[in-house]
Amino acid sequence: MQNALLHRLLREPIFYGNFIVAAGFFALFVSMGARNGLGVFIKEMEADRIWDNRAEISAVIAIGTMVNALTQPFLGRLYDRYGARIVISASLLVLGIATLTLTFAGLVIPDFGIDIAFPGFSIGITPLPGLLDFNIGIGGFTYTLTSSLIYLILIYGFVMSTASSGVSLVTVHSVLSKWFYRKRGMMLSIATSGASVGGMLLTPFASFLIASAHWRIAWIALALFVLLLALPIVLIIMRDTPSEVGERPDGDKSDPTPAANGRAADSARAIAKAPLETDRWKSALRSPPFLQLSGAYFVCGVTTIIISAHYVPFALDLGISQGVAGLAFGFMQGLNAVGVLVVGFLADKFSRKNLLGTIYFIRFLAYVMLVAPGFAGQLWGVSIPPSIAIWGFAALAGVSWIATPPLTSSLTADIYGVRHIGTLNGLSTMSHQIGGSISVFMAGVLYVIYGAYEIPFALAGLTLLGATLASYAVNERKFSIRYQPAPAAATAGRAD
Amino acid sequence: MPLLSVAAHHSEPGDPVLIDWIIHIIQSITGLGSLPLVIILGLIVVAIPVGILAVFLVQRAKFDA
Repeated sequence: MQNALLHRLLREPIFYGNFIVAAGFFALFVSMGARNGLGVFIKEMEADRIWDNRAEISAVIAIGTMVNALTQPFLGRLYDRYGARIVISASLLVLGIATLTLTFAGLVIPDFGIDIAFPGFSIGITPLPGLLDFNIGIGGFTYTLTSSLIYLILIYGFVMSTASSGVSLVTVHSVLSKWFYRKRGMMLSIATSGASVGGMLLTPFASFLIASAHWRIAWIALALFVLLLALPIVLIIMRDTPSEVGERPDGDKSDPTPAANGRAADSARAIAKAPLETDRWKSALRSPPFLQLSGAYFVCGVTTIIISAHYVPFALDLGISQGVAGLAFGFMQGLNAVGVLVVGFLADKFSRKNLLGTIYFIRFLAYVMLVAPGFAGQLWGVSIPPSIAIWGFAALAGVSWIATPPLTSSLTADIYGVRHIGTLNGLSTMSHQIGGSISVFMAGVLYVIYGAYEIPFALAGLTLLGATLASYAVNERKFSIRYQPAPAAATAGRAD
Repeated sequence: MPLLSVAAHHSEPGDPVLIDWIIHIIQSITGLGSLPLVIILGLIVVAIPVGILAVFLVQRAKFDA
């Protein structure tokens, strides 16, 4: 069987779009590890007094999160203008260099650079190998920013967070939407799983490297993965549209014929103008499908990020051991990749909005399981073992955890076409991230007030009913290109 | 560290306590030290793009000619 696969890989032509999926998968794999790997560095960097307390690094991460959320539409817009190859490779270059410069965090570097002096104040740069270090001098003393919190805010909070918006689900989903029409759901899902798999491999990799060497070495390794592995792959393979290499979406060979049906009809739809596609992306913001999809995606952010932050503490509150809580969370993370691939497969067979609504409803059921022991005990005196809540939630939520992004992006492309897909995906992702930030903050406040997580979790769970209804209510038959009559080849919009 | 988890969504659990626990579990299951695990995981990471690029270049060489 392995020989047959190898034979096929080497002897039969592979559609170029599959290489775009592979490049997108690996770009997400590495970029997620580089930017989100900060978690494994916290204890060691704190031990080296890179910052004074947890509040400081929390501020850096908060700034980074907000910058990442707000820059998604701008990077999406840049993608629409300049294409995936330029935007993703430039973002990887910046991300890699910025990751490398984190190696210098906390080092006291002699100021041998050029400073411009003002009365009582100076500003300048110190050229170092591969690094420009900013100096600020006040009252005759010059400070190098590598040894200050401002350095982390600048590098992690702004530079890395902005660059990672360019190597994100927004840009990768957008370019894949141009390469695939029939297999859009599956291919977007495969690329999305790269983010999940990257986290699963690079997090322990960085941890073990920190343990066996030093955290500075681990930053260098992550930077080299970005610069020497992901960047060349994107530069060599990535192409923005099928027409750049003489291909058609999905690898279709012939021009679609008028009055076609079946596969040929899909081929015609793939290059046709989508029902709500316009010259101006802003007009999409006033249309119901975009508001429904973005609103539901906001809820997705609310209900996933709150769990990432509070699941383990909640389990500990229920009397579950840290080991079991960690195992359940790990089980949920492991189901991510499986869930997203299954949903991707189904997305190309069935109605995408129904699938999206069902995913949100499954997540709602997960939340019901999560809060059931607390409410059942308080309201009706019924005792439900907490382990059922923890494991039941992990199983149901795990399946739905990252299944929503490819469905949301696919529906956006089906309805609004690929002309402004980067900007629209960026806007909906921004709403997702903002929803997540608000939910984490609100959950913390409500926990302080009520002394338990049941109230914030129940409120978050209820928003899923809204997301479910909003998704089911998307008029896919009217607005999605999948349900339109096949256009004649002569009147089809354009190839990409 | 709730804010860290915001950045971590769609990729990994970002809780440092949880990460420590996962690392401990991996080491106790495999019975390997940190350095061998770094090498194994590093090779897996490097193998992915090398594999992609190898198939891509073979395909281009064979079918673009």
